[in-house]
Amino acid sequence: MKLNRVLSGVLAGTMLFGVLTGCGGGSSSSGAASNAPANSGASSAPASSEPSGTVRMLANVTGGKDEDEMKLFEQALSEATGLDIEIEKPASDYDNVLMQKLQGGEEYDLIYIGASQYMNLVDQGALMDITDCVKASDILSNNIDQQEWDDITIDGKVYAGFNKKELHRVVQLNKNDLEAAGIDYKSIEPTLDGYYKVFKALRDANPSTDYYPLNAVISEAYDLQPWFASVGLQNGVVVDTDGKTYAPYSTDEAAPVWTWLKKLYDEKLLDPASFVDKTKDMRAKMEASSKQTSVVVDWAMWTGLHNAHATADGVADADYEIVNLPGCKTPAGSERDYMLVKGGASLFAVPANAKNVDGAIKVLEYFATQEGGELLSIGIEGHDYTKSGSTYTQTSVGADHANDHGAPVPVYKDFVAPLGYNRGVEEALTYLQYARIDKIIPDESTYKTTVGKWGIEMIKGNVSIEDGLASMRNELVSLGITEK
Amino acid sequence: MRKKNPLENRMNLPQRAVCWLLLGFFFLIMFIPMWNVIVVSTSTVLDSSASGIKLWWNSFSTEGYEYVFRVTKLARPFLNSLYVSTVATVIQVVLSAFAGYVLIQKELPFKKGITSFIMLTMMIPGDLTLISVYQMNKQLHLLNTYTGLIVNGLISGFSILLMRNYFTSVPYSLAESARLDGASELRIFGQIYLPISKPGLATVFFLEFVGKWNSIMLPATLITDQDKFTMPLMLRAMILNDASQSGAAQTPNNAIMATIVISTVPLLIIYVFAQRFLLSGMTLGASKE
Amino acid sequence: MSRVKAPKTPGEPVTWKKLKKNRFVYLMLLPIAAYFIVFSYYPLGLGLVNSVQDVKILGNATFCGLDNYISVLKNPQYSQAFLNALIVGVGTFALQFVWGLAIALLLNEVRSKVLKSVVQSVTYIPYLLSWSVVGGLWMMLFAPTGMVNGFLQAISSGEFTPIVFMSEPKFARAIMIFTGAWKGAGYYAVLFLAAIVGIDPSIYESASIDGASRLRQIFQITVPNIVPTMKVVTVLGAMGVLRNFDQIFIMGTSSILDKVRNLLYLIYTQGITQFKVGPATAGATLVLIGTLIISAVVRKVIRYDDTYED
Repeated sequence: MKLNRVLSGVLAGTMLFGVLTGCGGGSSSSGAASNAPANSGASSAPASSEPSGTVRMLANVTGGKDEDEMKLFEQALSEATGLDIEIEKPASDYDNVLMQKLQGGEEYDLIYIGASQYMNLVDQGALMDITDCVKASDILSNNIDQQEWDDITIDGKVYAGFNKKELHRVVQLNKNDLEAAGIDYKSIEPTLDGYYKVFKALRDANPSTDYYPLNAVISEAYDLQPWFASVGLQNGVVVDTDGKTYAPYSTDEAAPVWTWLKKLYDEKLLDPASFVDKTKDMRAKMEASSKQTSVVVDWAMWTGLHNAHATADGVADADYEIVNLPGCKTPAGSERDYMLVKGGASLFAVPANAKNVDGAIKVLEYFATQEGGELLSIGIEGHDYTKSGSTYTQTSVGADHANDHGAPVPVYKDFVAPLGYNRGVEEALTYLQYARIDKIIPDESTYKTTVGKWGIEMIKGNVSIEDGLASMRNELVSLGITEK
Repeated sequence: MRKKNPLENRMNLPQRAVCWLLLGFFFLIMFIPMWNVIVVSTSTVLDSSASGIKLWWNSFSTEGYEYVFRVTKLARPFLNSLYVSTVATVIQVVLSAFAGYVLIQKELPFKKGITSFIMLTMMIPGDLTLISVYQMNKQLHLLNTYTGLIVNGLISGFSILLMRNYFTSVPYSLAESARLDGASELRIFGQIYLPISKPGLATVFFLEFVGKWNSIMLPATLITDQDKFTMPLMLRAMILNDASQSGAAQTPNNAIMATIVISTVPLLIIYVFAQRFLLSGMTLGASKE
Repeated sequence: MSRVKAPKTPGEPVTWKKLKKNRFVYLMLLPIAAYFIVFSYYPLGLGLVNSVQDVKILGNATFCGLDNYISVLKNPQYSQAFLNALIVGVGTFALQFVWGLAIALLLNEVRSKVLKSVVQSVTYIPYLLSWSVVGGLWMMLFAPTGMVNGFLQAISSGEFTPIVFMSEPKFARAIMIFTGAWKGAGYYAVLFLAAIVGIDPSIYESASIDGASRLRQIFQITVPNIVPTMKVVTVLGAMGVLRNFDQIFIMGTSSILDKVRNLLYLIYTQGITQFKVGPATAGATLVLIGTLIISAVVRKVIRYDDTYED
């Protein structure tokens, strides 16, 4: 009884201290965690100066897949950090729910947000500046690539840590279809013309009307970066040398690529369903069960998932394999050889009204370690997998959860996936070096809609490339997405 | 029902043919998309992920159903929805009957105002009130509770309107004479109006059950405890899964279709029971008195 | 809208006696009134307050007059969105009305109970499904390799190029109207059928004796007799005209959005996803006002208030 009171007094004191100072020196003693063997018990028993108390989190995908597993997840995270972790997880419509919760005065210490919301919330002053905490933390500074931090720095300040490592979209190709058309994927010439010849050969090998060599989600202007790399244009919105924002895909320099896409459409090499398909439809056509397309641009993990689905349904590895390429080579003198899009950051931000900032930082630190990464990817020991020595064995529950408890690839830069990745993912990951994050803009959906709409008009031939690009530019400016 | 119509009182043959043709057409364009759902839900993962409409099986498999119960753990949300929708609907039927009874009273002062007060609630867009409704629920400690799921959206103007209209078909003189005999209002309501209004009550029950069973926005806001998730939340999350954009797997297609089937079955069962009341209970056009 | 106001019944003043006589009736109303005040009117009030404030998430809200409204109205897409909402909303209602009526009238001619029940059930089921389901289904049916194109190919002669329906602005509104009506037709059919069943059989009998054909009976007896139901359906439908979000959210691809993007969609992309509480609530208030106006106009046009006391 008395002990309890003393303890809670200490707790309250530390919490107050934490609030007053913003961030304590919480990171020092756990600096070793990065190379410590994965042992959930290792970092328990916090010293009195360690962050403590409750950390309330609002998560979207992070955590257990059901209530029981969520409890195990909270428990594992609590034990590892010495904190009392509470995770809430809305079922759907996350953005809308998040807005209501914040506006309703809920107090969280960490909230999951995407890149767009990050910027909007920073704009409204709803997030806490944790730049100093990040700098003071060895783990956060050393375990995560500086580039990742640069991506989420706004005016020199950081307001969030990472939920996972963002991967990139690569060109995925059906190796068997290519072989049937007499093409070795490694020898494809990385130019628009080179790919055009590949599509042509694929078409000759498969004249079916249900089949198209290339599919993309053009309606949302996804998946085009590897092709626009040929003229060195960056996806999304960028800032020009004169300080004004513009959309590179809408400039006259983009014309060759739009012309190329139009040619593909006219010659029935590009699936007309690309004008309406969502990513899900595109993936369905790539699957071993459909094989209605041979080339798409999709997230790196999906190379593995396509292959894994086929294997799970008894398709022999030799009969279906998706492989990866980085797309077109950039013009001579460019900053990188290829251009790919990296996913917009998925973050855990600290709201301005957070009560336990130290605790929040501690959790972010844990997420950036090998053992934290294991929790976020393969899940909970004894539930999703078992371990003897350094051998990990996945349970049937773990298999159902597909190595994803929030971060299929954790943010820790030297993370070793204990269970490995699906077939083909390793190859896809080698192209991560060419990927860059898009500039974060507040109204991403309007950007996509506008570029997609005019892109489709040009490809269909309803407007000339020149007029289409001018219209695209004008509309982006009139809707306040870009400045020129 | 007009069973006794004389036989000659029918359409002639060409007219009947047109009638059947049209009905057949309506039937087909309603039926085909739904049949596709059933077929896909009972196909293998690989077959179900193939694109396009499927009207017959390449392979029959129940793995979609096994998946949703094993991995998605749909049993709990299913029971949650069943519990919450049933309790809420029962309460709603009672309250709607109350309100409907109030609105048929003759010579009730402020009746017009009361009617407008009720009808206006049907026009308020959810977006306008969502944030404040959340705050209200927080203050009342209704977040993450079954009570919260039951209480929100408990009454609707539409069901009050339906009950009112049904009650107007009950002869007012019955109530008048009972009143003269000294019967209390509660007795008149409970012993004259309610028993006679079974079809109306059943209709309101059915319509509101459907509405509650499918309700999404409020449960999504109120519930962050996975033990209390409801069916439509699970379904919506599966279909619109964009959360983990660059991340890993999404639910296989046959499991999504299986969820659609599972979430529709209770409504169909209730519909079968309600159907015979539905036609006599939907008294929208009942005239004033 | 009149709130609690003295009734205009001529020559019958509200007296204490009357109020007292009805005390039990008012008591019955109490839980309902309390509910609506707490869960509808109070949030409505707060929403209206938000709409005239510069609301910062987790920060202070400051009064900003009509700035939010102006920012919403100044959006170049706003007037188009209003027009789209009106066209798609009214179109959907009209088609659903006719479609539902057709099903009801046709079903009424079916003698076999089983067939009647089966057709009625199947046409009703789409109403039970959510837009995330229905929208996905129709996107598949309208796909280049989907069934609609398959059907067109079967009836066309010569070379056939599939139409990418969901990317053709010229079909956009028609598709939204069609699928919207598809979803709700079975529901309206039940409403109309209920009214038809309630018609006094003796009217038909005497018409038969007079030698009126069945077709004539349908148009001269059945239809006129369900006019009151039609009016209620119309008034209720008018309330929903501006409130269609999910359908557009699911089915609006970028090529056709310009034709179908409506007010609630605009509120969603410009307000909610950007955490702009003020503009979002201002936009929603405009939807409410629009709905009130449409309802009032519809009531006037169909002379609803002449038929009904309220």
